[in-house]
Amino acid sequence: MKQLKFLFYLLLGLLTVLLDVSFFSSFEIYGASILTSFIAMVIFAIRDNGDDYAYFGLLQVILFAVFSSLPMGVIALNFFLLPIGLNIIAKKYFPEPNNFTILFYLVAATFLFDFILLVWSSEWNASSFLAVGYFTAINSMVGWFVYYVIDLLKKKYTFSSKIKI
Amino acid sequence: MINLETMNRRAKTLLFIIFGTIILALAISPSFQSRAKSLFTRTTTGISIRLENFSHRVRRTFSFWTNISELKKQNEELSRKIISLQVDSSQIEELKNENALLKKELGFIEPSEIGTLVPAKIIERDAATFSDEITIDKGEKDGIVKGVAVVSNNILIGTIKNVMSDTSKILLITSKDSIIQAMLQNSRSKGILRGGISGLYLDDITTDTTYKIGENVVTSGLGGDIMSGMLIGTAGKLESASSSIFKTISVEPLVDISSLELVFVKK
Repeated sequence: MKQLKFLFYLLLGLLTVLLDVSFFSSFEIYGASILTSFIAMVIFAIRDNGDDYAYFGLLQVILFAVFSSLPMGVIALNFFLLPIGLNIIAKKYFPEPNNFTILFYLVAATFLFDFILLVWSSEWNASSFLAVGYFTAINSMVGWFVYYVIDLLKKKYTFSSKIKI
Repeated sequence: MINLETMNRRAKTLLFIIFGTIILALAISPSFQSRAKSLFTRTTTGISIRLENFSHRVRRTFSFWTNISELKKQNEELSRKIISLQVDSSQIEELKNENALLKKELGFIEPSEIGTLVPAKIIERDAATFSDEITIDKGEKDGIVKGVAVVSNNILIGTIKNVMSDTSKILLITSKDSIIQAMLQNSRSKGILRGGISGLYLDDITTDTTYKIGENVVTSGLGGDIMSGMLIGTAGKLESASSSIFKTISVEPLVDISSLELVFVKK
């Protein structure tokens, strides 16, 4: 991994976690808020052809363990193992994902993320399931929008570079 | 000669070992975790405060436009409540005077003052669902100790869970891990206040208890951690079945914790 890439991961990881704990956590809908650190993790896991995303995952585990009160096992499962599983499925079944596939990944990943938290909290009631639903919906939409913007910028940049050549 | 690929692989292996060691240390050693939290929070407090302030400004802007019609209704309701409270206040004043006189006659020692209140700014909130904790910008250096009550407008919102040198973590009453000894103010029936994503509930109330919806729920002082009489919320409807051994009552909190910016810690 290049040094610049590592620095980018470090800064992005810190920025997303700070945004999560100090900005987005104030905007709650039925207990669910936007979790940019996890969205960034999922996007890297889908797009990365190598294994660099796993190091971003380890970094997020450390940062989330510091800033959150969740147990280490739950954090490691959600920020490291879950994205690895996602990457394996992405490489094997959908190596060239389109917009709908990305949405499917995001819905599945965010649902599993909050469902694992639900299992940990053992609060089996209607409000909890509603919170999981809202979390999945909000973060899938935000994640899909972010992925769309990144993809658009990447295509535009590649197109401009080709014209210059 | 070592090629680039080998160097890259070695660097990645080293990175993996470093990260793995840090994660293991965070998982196994609570003191390492506490020191790491303290270090990170100290370095990022400035940014956290600015982000938190910005989020409240955005919230207020949006809520103003969406709540205009609600505001008028609330205004009228509050005006009526003020008049009713003024009447209650004067009656309470009378009772206080009578109480003081009676205590003097009987030779009671006056209870100590409530204690010092330390104001603290909220700098972080736990981002994960099902976890209700907030971090404030006061810690051990400011005299904060574990287990003390945290209030807003003299209403209990949580207790101090962890104390670091510059910051502290508050376990909110809405957290599923929160257990507060509480009681219904009028009927004096004691129970346990529990939090969770579905709301606040007062458990273990005896079945012969009669109460009114809207009755104040206050701390009972049992256990000695939190003084008695601190307002928490108001009693809602009965949630338990009629055949249950104990009653469970829902509790409406009086403070919107998500919009809080400043809290006070009892020293």
